[in-house]
Amino acid sequence: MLKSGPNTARRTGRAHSGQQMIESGGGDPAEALARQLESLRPDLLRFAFWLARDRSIAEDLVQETMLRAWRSRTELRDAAAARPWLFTIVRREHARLHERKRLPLVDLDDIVARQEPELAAGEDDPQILDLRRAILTLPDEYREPLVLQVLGGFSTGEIAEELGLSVSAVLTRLFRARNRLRDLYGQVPTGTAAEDAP
Amino acid sequence: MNCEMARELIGADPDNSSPELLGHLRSCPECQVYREQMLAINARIRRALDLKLEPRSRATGPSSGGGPQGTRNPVAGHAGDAAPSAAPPSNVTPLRRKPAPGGGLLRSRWMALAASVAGALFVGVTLWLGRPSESLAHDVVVHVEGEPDSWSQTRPVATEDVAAVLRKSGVKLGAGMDPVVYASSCMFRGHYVPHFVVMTKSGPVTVMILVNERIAGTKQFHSDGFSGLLVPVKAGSVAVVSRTPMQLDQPARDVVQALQSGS
Repeated sequence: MLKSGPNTARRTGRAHSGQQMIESGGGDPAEALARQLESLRPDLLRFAFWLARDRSIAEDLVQETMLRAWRSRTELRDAAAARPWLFTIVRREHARLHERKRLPLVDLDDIVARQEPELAAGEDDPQILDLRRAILTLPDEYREPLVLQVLGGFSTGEIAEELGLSVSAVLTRLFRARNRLRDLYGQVPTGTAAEDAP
Repeated sequence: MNCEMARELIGADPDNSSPELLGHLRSCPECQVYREQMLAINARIRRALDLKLEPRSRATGPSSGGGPQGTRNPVAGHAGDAAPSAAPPSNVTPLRRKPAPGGGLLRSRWMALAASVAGALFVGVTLWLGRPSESLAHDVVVHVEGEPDSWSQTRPVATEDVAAVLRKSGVKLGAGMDPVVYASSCMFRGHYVPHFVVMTKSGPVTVMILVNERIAGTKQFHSDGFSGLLVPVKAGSVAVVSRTPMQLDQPARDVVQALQSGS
């Protein structure tokens, strides 16, 4: 039985659109799942991009994830668990990619330069663009839990389970990730939280 | 709860609203300001992560699952199936496709290509195995430098947390190591490896079990104020590192023995 991240809805506010679709759609469960997979594709692509730091690899990861999810759809008992389930598959596919081949070492500046079009998509605030570049250059061990928490809506306990770490190690990494971003990005004036909140 | 604990909690999860944290914030204006800053940066991080990536269009052939033809969304094209289809949605393209069957000439070309790839692979593996372990030591030091707080831990890590870290890398450890005060599963050279700090009688020592890093023999290294040993083991190698000059032979032996007794 797959578990649903209890904090998912609370943190993202849009986590369970697929669940609503399943509940309201009725009828064929395969159809409902197919729709749900498709509705979650943009979220998965975003997540895969931040993991892989490469648009093309992210596209392939999402394709492979869709394929695996479809083949394993009988494992999914709870529609609400689909999102964290798919995020987990993306993450594992990404790890498998590293296992399959030793990816070449690349300069962080090159990564940012190559992904500049993706980073700039739909965003004209230069500070947000700087922050995206900063996130892209975070080490994997900081970026991965941060993305799982902020984008995936995973709790620290769920991240710990996902990454095979202790909760205290996850807290430390998240703390360091945010402090690095704060240092890289500069102090944010207080009072901007409300205007940026989704 | 003191300020240090509160700030670590806020930095890790700015939305945290545990009673302990809220109690501290009521009596600490500095931490309250820190929290507001972190909430602000977190909102901007959320916005930054929310990339508007439109999926690139992919070539979609006829529906492989027998769904309706001409469906704009091939995934939804399975809607007409009476039972869940065994075929994946038709816009899901497997990354690895089997080559199309060909004639003798094509087969011989494949054989030649395979032989070339095997030859290149052999040369590559040989060069890779023979590369100097100095680069491995350098990477270990760079990694250890990136986790400075790991050295300041003093409380033993729970056995189940250590086991979780080991499990992730498929490593088993028997008894015999000094108490583990820091345990983390770290991405190192493309693999998750166990990263521990053990508290020896002479002080904290970092131990990294480098499952996929084979070396020819034991190597000692000194770099950026760190001293260390790389020791070959059955599964790869073990790095033992200290920040102060000390004998690392015994901690290294303990780890190797624990690995041997655990396997």
